[in-house]
Amino acid sequence: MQIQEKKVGNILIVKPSEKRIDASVATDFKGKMIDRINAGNKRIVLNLAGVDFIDSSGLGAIISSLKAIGNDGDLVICEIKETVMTLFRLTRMNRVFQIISTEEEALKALSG
Amino acid sequence: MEDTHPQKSVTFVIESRLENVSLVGVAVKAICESIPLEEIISRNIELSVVEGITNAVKHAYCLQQGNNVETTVLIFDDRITIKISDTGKSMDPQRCEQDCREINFEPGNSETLPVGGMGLHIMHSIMDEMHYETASGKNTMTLVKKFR
Repeated sequence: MQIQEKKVGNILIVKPSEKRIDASVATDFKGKMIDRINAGNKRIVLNLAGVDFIDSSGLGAIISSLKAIGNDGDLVICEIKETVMTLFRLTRMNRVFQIISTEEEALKALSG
Repeated sequence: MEDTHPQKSVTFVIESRLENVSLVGVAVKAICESIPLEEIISRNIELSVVEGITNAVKHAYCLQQGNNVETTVLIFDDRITIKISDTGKSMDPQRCEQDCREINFEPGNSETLPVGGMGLHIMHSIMDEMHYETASGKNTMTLVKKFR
């Protein structure tokens, strides 16, 4: 699974290039996220602007990333589409993750 | 609820590989939109179907390729019914019922967050009816969404 990434200060912005994060790519996606967290990236913005569909396996990969960050940092989600937001509401993960409209605001939230 | 004859029906058969699951998902979404159902409802039905087929590939066939997963879509006047069938390992009915219920965790405690086992709950939340049965070695998950 392809991702785009850039660093702004000590914040890593990850933007999946795939439109779907489902069971066929979830393990690969989780591996890429965990590699970056283990490399010291503890403040991450996950920009889901290009993602149309996430299933429970994809959501599990995002939750695993948050768990891997632990208490030393945070993972903030931005630019999520309404169709994907439904999954977060159904699973109550909208209460777990900070979900912010724009990448700029997400960066501000993690800089504070 | 299958006492009436469907207006239309179609069956998709895929080999049990996770890469194939989205093929049925996008087809079901397109069918839902053609009924027409709203995009968000169509996408949610797609999500339920993807969860059901993924369960069959992962748990009934234990990710072993070379098996079939059959998905039949039946469109009635007042509802859409989707039947997902496999011939692999059956689900434990008690586990099935338990997983359909609320996902338990404390939002502020990341250690309690689930990383799996959410699929049945998602399907149960989206669909109006959900049944699972095993007969003659065939497991079938039936999903029903009524039209409002």
